[in-house]
Amino acid sequence: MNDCKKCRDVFVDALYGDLSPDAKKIFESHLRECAKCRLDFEGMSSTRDTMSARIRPEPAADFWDGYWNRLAKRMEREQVALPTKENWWQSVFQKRLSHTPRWAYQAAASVLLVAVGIFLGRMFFTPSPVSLQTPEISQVAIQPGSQINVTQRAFDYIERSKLIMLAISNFDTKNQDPYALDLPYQQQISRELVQEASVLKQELADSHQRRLQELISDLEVILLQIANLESGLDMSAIELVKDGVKSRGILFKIHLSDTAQLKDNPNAHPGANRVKNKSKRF
Amino acid sequence: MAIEDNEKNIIELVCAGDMYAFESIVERYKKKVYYIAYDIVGNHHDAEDISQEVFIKMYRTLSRFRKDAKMSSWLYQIAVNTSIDVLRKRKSKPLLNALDLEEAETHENPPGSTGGKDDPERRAVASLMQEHIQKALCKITPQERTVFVMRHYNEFKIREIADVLEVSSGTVKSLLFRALKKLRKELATSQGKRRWEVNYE
Repeated sequence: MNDCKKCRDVFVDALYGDLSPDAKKIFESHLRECAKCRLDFEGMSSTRDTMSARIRPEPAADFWDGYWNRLAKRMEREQVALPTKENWWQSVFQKRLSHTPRWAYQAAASVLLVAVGIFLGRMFFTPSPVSLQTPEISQVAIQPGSQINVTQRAFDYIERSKLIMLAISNFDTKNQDPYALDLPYQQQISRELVQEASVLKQELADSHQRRLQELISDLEVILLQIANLESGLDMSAIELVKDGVKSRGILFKIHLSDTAQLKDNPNAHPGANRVKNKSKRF
Repeated sequence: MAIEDNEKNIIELVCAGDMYAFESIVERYKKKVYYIAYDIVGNHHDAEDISQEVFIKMYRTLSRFRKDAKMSSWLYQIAVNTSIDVLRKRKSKPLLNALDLEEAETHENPPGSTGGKDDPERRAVASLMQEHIQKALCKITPQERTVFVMRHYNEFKIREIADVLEVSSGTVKSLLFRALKKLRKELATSQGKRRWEVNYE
């Protein structure tokens, strides 16, 4: 009985010639002794042979010759495209769309509304630095001749933003205590920086500093996302912000601007000063 | 190993937008993908449609393909899943296409051969045999059919089938055993009916 079970376990291997020589000997020896297993195996072998008589129609040669052309036409018709870096957000949304909760759509809609508001504000209203800035910042903005020039302020802005970007990027949503992030504080700083961005960008544009202007724009988008995160700690929303930081290469761009600034003037960079001061303490 | 390295290079080229590289993948795998689809769904038109669908799905998701995985297994997995989806939409039975059956008969007795073309009785028997085999294949579940056609008609090893379907080798053997048992039963029934029909006539 036990031998019969073992025999049936290797029926499939035996039928398709996958048994080792030793196993084959044992199998055939059992078949000689057990009429029931022998009959079953013969029946199965006969089925296998009958099924082998099936004829699969071979498509005509021109079917294979024209296969690629037909496929290429279909891909063109259906506008099949590779997911590229340019449309990274599509793949992010495709992956998340099926299990995204309703609040996420609401958050996205509110971010969009704020962005539209900012855009319309810039389009139709004259920028009013005094109304947009905190007192300290507006004081800086209305003193073009002051010692703190626009480049220096831009680097200071980048340095402050970098701290937030690092806090968000290094935050492990799966394992870390959510309160370690201190999100309300990060949001408050983000809001201040977003307010500051429009004037700074304008001044950078006026002084033809395109790269710094673009970096400030990139930072502004991420900061806006952070500022508009809902008060409850939602890890998937934070993950989205992290994805944004990563895909825009924000930290890399900051690093480049730091390097460029240090090269030009090591003392001018507030971050560099901080590092110097810090190193003195040890 | 060399083939796998080569495939990785090709994938990188496709991801960089090289359509010639993608064409080389299609040329290499088109027949195997088509035949897997044909054996599962049982007709030419669906098989062609599925095989194209497989390459399109592959193209769309190529950038997410794990570099350590085997491309062929991944491609065959898409082929199997797409074919089974088509069967589900069609309430799980492969379509018996009369045109395909006729074509199969022509194949067995090609023009000019003496193998029964002029013998109406032999032709009728061969035709009935093809019909019985196709009907028997319709009676087993899509999973059993998939495993059976991959091993029997497409010469996949048990281990390869297990990789494609992401199951154990034991599961593959068990499905194959069940498929053969059911096919045996179905063929015996249809042959019994045939004998009865012949006697009655």
